[in-house]
Amino acid sequence: MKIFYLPDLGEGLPDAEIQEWYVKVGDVVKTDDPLVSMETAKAIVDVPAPFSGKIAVLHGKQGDIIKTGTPLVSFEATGEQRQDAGTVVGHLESHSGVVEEQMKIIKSDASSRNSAKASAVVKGLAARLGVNIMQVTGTGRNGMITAKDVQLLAAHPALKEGFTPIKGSRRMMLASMTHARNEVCPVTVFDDADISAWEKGQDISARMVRALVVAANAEPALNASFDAATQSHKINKDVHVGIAMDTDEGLFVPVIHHAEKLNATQIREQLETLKISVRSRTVKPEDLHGSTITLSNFGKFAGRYATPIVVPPQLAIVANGPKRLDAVVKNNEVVVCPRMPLSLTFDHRAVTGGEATRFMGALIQDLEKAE
Amino acid sequence: MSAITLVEAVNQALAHELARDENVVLLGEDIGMNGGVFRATAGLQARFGSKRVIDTPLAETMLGGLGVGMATQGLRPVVEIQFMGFIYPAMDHIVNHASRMRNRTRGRLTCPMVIRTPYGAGIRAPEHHSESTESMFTHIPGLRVVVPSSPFRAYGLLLAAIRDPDPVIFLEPSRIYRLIKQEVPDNGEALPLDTCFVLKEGTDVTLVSWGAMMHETLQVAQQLENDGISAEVIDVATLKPLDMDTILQSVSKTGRCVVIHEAARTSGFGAEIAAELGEKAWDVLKAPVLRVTGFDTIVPLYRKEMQYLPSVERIRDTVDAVLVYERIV
Repeated sequence: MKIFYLPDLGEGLPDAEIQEWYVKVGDVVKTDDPLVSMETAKAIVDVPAPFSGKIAVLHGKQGDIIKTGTPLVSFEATGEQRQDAGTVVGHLESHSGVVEEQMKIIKSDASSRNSAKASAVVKGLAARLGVNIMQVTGTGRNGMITAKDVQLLAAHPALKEGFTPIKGSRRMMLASMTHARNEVCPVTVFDDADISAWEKGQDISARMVRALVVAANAEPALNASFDAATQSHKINKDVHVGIAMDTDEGLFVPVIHHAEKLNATQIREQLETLKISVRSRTVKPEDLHGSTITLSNFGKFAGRYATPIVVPPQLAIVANGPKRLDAVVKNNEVVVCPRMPLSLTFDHRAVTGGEATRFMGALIQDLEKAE
Repeated sequence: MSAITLVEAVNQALAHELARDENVVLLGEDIGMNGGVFRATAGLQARFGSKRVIDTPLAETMLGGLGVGMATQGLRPVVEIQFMGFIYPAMDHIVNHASRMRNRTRGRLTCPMVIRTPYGAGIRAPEHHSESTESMFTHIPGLRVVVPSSPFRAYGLLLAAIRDPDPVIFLEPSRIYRLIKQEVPDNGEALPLDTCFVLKEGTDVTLVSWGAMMHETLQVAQQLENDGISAEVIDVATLKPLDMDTILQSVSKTGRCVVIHEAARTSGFGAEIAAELGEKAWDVLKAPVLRVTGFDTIVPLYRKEMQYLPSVERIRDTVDAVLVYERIV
């Protein structure tokens, strides 16, 4: 049953008198159909139906006074059932159709991560240093790999199976040769010195050192020092000859300082002293530094020519093989001639071929003298 | 077996437990004779009687106290709070007693009660029927907070919650009460608590959500799939205790994470997940962890309600934002 209460017909009027009913019980009306005319203190007004429905009760007859807000007309309940909205408030959306869904529970193994625990910054550092991040042990919180860990491995990469670290003086050779290879632009010139004129008892090493001094005076460019970083060079008036010595402990290059001031005997003395001190591992640090050019007598066992390595800041190195008897053409004849094979490597960054061959020429000229 | 809605699944689970365990008791306003304002308890009083399905006076503090009292004395009360907006008078009983009972009595007494309540916006109701204040409960040690996102999970998780010996706040997202139907066999099989559910596997980005927002999140995942982007979708389900392992494993794979929740942004549970990822996954993250959330405002009325809730567009925009980040190494 729906009750229609008499509304305020205007400005708070307390009541109105029923003038004339337009409907009777049982009538079906639509919204806004006039139901009744009411007389108020001010006027006569028609009251329209507020909704559609069937008249059930008229709460007064013609002439009755109805108070504002009290029942005027009752309508019958409509035939349709009230929908159960399923909610006391608002509106719940619903879609038709059944949803299928897949659902997984992951039995996670938090330890199985396929990436190393390192931040993007540290991974970038590893890439730049050429370190395999998967091989780095992390010392940070929860095993996190820090920048230091990466740098440590870059400085000391992990040993492979079966490898042992290189120790001692061989490490020095490794370092200086690596450095030389990275820097120097080497060219080697090969030639032979005819020593058939040599008098008896010539000391090969002493002759070589003297020849180097002579050649350095003739062509100072090969005795100079070169600084790649500043692209500058220094002419050396003094000739400090590094003598490459192969010992059980490895390669050493002690220096005969001021070879330009020494005679053959002194050179020999120096050589012996250096040899002994190197073999006994008592060689002084200053005796291993300061050479302006290097000499390598490598040919004890085999080998004629070689491509010896120039070690910066030097610009040249001379190597001689053992003297040998060669078949040589002289005066249009083939004769047996004792010769010393020579190899001169120079750094073509700062020395020209002309300078090198002039040096070589002077070297050979002095070597070929009788004494 | 016909497909049922989420609220029907709740009804099915309650009926199953009422039948299985005589200690299970339902309490709440309008749940018995009326069957609950969302019909979640329809038919249960008629079936199990008014001693098992109890209509209480309109008094949430009393509901909290009744629940704690019954639970500590051997019953298994399932208390309905009619809307999450009405739960606050019961906070004293929930926080001061239910969550602490085991600790306080050194295990002599436990509090196996479930408080279930419809929550969340999107049903065109006033603000106190629309909030999502799960963070108030996830913050409390000793409380479990469970949020189903589908009929199937509502059934299995509610069974688990009722059977659990400790208090569970079971938040039912009213917006999806009737949204979809699923086949839910009434086999009494509980789902595991304290674990996330991976609803879709993917490789490019991890989408983490719970409750009604799961619906929009899955839509975004489908959109992404159509655009050639493979999203992994995780339903947290049990907010507390949080199964961070599943999320970490996913983010290790994808390197990107977006958390979606309708609750207000500040101190929302997404912040907890983002902080955990920042701590434990920062080495694999390709992009910052972003959250798509409700705003730090009262839930607005109908005209603005859908602007408040994270929409498919808003979620998609945020996912696009994390996809922009690339890793060089």
